[in-house]
Amino acid sequence: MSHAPVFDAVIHAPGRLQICAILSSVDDAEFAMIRDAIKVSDSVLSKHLKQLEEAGYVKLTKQAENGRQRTWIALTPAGRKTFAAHVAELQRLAALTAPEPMGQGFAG
Amino acid sequence: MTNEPSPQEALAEIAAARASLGQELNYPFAYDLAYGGMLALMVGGAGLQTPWSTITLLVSLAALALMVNWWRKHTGWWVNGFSPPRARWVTVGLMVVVMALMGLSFWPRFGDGPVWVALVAGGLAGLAGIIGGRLWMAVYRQELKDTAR
Repeated sequence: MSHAPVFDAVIHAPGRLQICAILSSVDDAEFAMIRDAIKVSDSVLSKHLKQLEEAGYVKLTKQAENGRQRTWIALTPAGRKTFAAHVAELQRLAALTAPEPMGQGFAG
Repeated sequence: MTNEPSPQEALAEIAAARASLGQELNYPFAYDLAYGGMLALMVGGAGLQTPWSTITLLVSLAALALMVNWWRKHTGWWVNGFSPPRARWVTVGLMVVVMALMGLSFWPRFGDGPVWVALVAGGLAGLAGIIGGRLWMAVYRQELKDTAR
């Protein structure tokens, strides 16, 4: 399904873009897995997730496992839709700014 | 301050993030064997008389729950078979095969078919599960690569 290209400033920030990229490919992912994948500290990831959660783009679920609490994160339907629209906009912009293909040669 | 990525850089970041997920896809073949075994038990057991058909169904569902739990714990993520747009068709195909074999397995239980039919149906379901599992993952892996472009 194609989405109308719409730029989203919350998602576009480095870090949040990668978080959404991972979450858009799965149903949900664990905090530590995302942290290791995008190579940030716990506090930086927490900040990004807070912003995404406030925007209504992700849902955090805490689960107790072997006495430890693990946080699972999933994109909300709104988050999934917004991310797809944002990627469509990035592709549109990238196509606009792509270098022109070389011509048939200099004929002067 | 201009620390926001350009469209090209942003798309490259998305590709890199999805590629990192692809690296987590090296899971043991034993997982597919277990999945095949679970399907074999479920389909083959469906041809047995009660209470064995109920017991095999419950054991196979418990095995499936354990497998999901193992996957989540070891990879840190989960995607159900129907979520990825392309790989979901492998799941649909596998479901059709399993349902057909399940119907075959019911023959000795509800009709006058020989018991070995249920055993063969179970074996075929197990084989379909192993092949389907590997195929699903290959399609999903390719899908991750393609959507990252």
